[in-house]
Amino acid sequence: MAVATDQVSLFKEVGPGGVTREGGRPHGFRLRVGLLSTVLLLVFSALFARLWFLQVMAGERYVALAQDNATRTVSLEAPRGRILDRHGKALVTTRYAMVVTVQSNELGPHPDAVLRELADLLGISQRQLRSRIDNSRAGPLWPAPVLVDAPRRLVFYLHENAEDFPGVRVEQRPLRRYPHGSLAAHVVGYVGEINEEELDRKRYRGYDPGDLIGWGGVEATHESQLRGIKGTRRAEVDAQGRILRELGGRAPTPGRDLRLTIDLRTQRLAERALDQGLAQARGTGDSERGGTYAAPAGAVVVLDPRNGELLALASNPSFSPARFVGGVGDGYWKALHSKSNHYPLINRTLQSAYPPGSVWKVVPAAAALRHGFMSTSSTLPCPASFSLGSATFNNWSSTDMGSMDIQRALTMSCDTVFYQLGTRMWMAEGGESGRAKGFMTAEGERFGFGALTGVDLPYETDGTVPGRRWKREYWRDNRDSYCKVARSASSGAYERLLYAELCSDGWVWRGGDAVNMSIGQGDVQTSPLQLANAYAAIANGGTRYRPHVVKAVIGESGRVRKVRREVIGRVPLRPEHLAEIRNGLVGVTSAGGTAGTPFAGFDVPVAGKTGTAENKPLAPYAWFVSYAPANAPRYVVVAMVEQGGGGSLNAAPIVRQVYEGLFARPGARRPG
Amino acid sequence: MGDIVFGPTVGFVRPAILSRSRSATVPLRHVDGLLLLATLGLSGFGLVMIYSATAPSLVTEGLDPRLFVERQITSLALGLGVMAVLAAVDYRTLTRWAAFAYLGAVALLAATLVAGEEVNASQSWLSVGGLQLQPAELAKPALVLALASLVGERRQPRPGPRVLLGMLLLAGVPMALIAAQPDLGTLLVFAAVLFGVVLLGGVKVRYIVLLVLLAVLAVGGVVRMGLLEDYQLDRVSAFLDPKKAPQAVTYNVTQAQIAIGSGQLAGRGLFQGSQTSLSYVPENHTDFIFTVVGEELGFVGAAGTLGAYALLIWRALRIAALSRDRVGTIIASGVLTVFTFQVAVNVGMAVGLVPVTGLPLPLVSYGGTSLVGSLAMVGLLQNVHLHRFGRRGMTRLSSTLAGGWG
Repeated sequence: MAVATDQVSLFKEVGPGGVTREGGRPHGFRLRVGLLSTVLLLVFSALFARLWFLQVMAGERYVALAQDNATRTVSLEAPRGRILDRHGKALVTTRYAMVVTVQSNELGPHPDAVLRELADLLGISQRQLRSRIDNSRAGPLWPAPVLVDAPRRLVFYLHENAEDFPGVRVEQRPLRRYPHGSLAAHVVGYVGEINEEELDRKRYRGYDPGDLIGWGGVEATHESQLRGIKGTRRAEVDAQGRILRELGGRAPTPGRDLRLTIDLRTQRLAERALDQGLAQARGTGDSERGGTYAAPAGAVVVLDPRNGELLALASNPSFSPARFVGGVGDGYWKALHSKSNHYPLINRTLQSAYPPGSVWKVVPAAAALRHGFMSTSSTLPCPASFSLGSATFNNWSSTDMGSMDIQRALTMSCDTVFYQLGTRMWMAEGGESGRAKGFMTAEGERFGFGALTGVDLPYETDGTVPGRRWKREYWRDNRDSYCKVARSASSGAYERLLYAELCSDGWVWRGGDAVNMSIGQGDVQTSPLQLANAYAAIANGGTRYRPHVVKAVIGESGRVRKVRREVIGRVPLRPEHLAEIRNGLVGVTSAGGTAGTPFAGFDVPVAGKTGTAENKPLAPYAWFVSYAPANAPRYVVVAMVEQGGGGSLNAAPIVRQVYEGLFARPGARRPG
Repeated sequence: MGDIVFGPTVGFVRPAILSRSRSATVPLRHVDGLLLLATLGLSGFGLVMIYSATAPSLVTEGLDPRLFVERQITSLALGLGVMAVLAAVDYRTLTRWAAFAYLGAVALLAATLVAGEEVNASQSWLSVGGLQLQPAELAKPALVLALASLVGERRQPRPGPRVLLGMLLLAGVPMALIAAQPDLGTLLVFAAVLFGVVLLGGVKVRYIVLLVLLAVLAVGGVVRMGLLEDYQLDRVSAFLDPKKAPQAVTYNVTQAQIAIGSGQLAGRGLFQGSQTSLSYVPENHTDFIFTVVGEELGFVGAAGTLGAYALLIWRALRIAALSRDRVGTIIASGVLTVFTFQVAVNVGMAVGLVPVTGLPLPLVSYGGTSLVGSLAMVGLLQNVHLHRFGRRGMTRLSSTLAGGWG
């Protein structure tokens, strides 16, 4: 430092005229000057040191920060692929909307003032605005959408006053559009921002916070095809966020289109039939429980038995995927997850399993024929009730219906015939300590029950086919809790006896279990889709195809990758046995069959089976599973109504309405 | 070559007259050349920096990019004139007029409180016929002169308690007016001037200690009584704990450091700084102009600028020591303190060593009043240097004005 080094010479210096210091120079003046010089030296040293640190030692870091400041890389969202029906009609398309976004780390020196003014502009409270910013899973480093479909006047205002709104941008973003509203909502699914949990998953490597991903439906299962490749746009921006210079970038690549197997018209038909069927059930008196049937929910499946293509999948209640565009509101999200609304997001055709009741009877029928418990010519009596040990199992009818063969037992849905078959098979297997996998269990698995169908939709359930092994495993898993309840219940109480028995002998596959299973009760659980696929095998001669909703993926430049039909299993049945079962099912819809009334006057031969699955204390599940035309099946149609009462009463009419539409028969209301 | 006469008569006096009046005039060679070099260098450099800081945003707004620079050039011309006058007239003469300067400055300061314009929560501007003034900038040289004249009147070797009290009063009045604006930074400049003058003016150590104690108590009292504005406290607490501070308070400081740091050793090139040209640093033509230096010219430029100030301050210290009397010493000390304090605080603020206080970088920052005031103070320094040889070295004009002094 110049000041310090020159200090000595400085005070020795004598003016050019030989004039020396006058008197009156205070004592210790040199000391004071020295003190001041030292302070100056320290001050300047500190400034130099700090400059050295900032510029030379940490300079590179600040260069990076300055570049971050001045160049903004805006990622351009790629439009997702469209979702089309089998004929190319659009179910889900893309539209571009003006979206106002806020990036909280770029709000400049007065973030509160910016947000206050923005909230005024949007006509919402500051708190609402903040919650919209916070609700975005994007985080502060990414623009959070606060308003979708900004009016033109607002867009212009924000552009013209950009300097007053640092960190606030208007972006043109591709958004999902649903020209048919909630039609096929469960099939297409919906789109929402990726969350932190998903970001960590391998499947979503390369995704950024705030990216949209498919949730539910083919949006989820075909995410990688539907999602395009994001583009980027690099620009130099000033402190007010004004773009000064484009620095290049890359245009986004749109996602691939999906062509579904779903037929828009059939889908609408199925949804309408289901909706009207539920309404009808709700107006039907429930003689057992009083009032009318609650019928809160139901499902319809329309499947092509020749290849596994799903023409329609209807699940009621449904939801509106459009409500998810630009971020789903809290209220709607809560409504979708409330018990009182019966969880509309659940796709009941394949995400829930129910007791099938009598529609299951094709399984014991096939097992009995296969293993010789019945032949095509043998008969069994159909009494009003059946006794096994001390227990009595009733038929659905209180009158003795006489002797009948398998075909008629299916047509009349005679429970007592199947009780006898179930008991015989159970005994032949070796009774309580018999072979691990019984005849009926094995047959159920052959039909695809208890296993995933492999449908290209998310969260499919596999249901349950019970048996000795299953019961032992189930008991092993639950023994501790059984025994605990048995110990804690007061002695002599029924509860204690029951749980004490479950605790010690809960693994035993009893005759009663086989009896219950023979009519699709007890622990049997199937999804409507599994039933559709099982009946498809009966319809097509014994082949199980993988049910699917995606027919083709259409890439850039129109290259189409078709989804081929895929065999996932076979049900080897002798032709005469198959014919026996098919004839039984055709009888169901004929005069005198259990669904003779709902199909009266319908001129296309329909093979079907009614089901009324007990679910005490609630009303039974109403089922109707069918295929048509019975002689050359093109459709499998399944209808299920939760708490809907009798299958012939409240499920079969839904199926008939679907067939009327499919075959364009009189009475069909042609949906637009 | 013959001596060139420095003073208002230059150019109008024939050589014969010059040689005759040599004894009564100060030759230009007695000007402190290094001081002049540093002054002109810094002011000229300031013009370039102001251009760099303002041109891009002026262009964006469709205005003339030289708008600010041209205004500053006008001020510079005026300031150089003021400097020349204040250098030429013997400071002993000037001290006689100190009372007028002082009272004028106080009157202007009082006027700002009544008719001033509020900028950044501080009422420190006065608008006179389309001309904008910051009276506090003019009050700095006025106070320096007034203090010098007060101490100079006394004949005793050391200023006693009465003189000290007078100094306190002299400084106290403008300080109270500035505190009322409020302008904390400028207030501290005046306090520093008082301290510098007291230190080099020969006040006894015990009084100095007493003064420092009083100052500490006063600061403590002000903070305790909550007399500081919220934004002032915010700035200090933001400085002490930047992570907790709201973004509004730390924004300037952060952007300033990014600008300076990104200059690295050699800078990003003149007019090439992105922080500067894209307006990331607010007030970068006034209080934060050092960020432009740091970003565009790097450590080399920043250190060079600091070096120029060090040169100026060293010359001031030397002039204080060389002065023929205490009046000159006090004038030089006052000016020295103003420059040192403002440079230290302004640069310290830009590099994050000192809390944010609105003080211009003397001679470089945009602002007419500040520039004229700073040049006036440099003029006073030159004056003390020019007239360090007693009456013999008086300029003709000053001897005329001085009349029968001594």
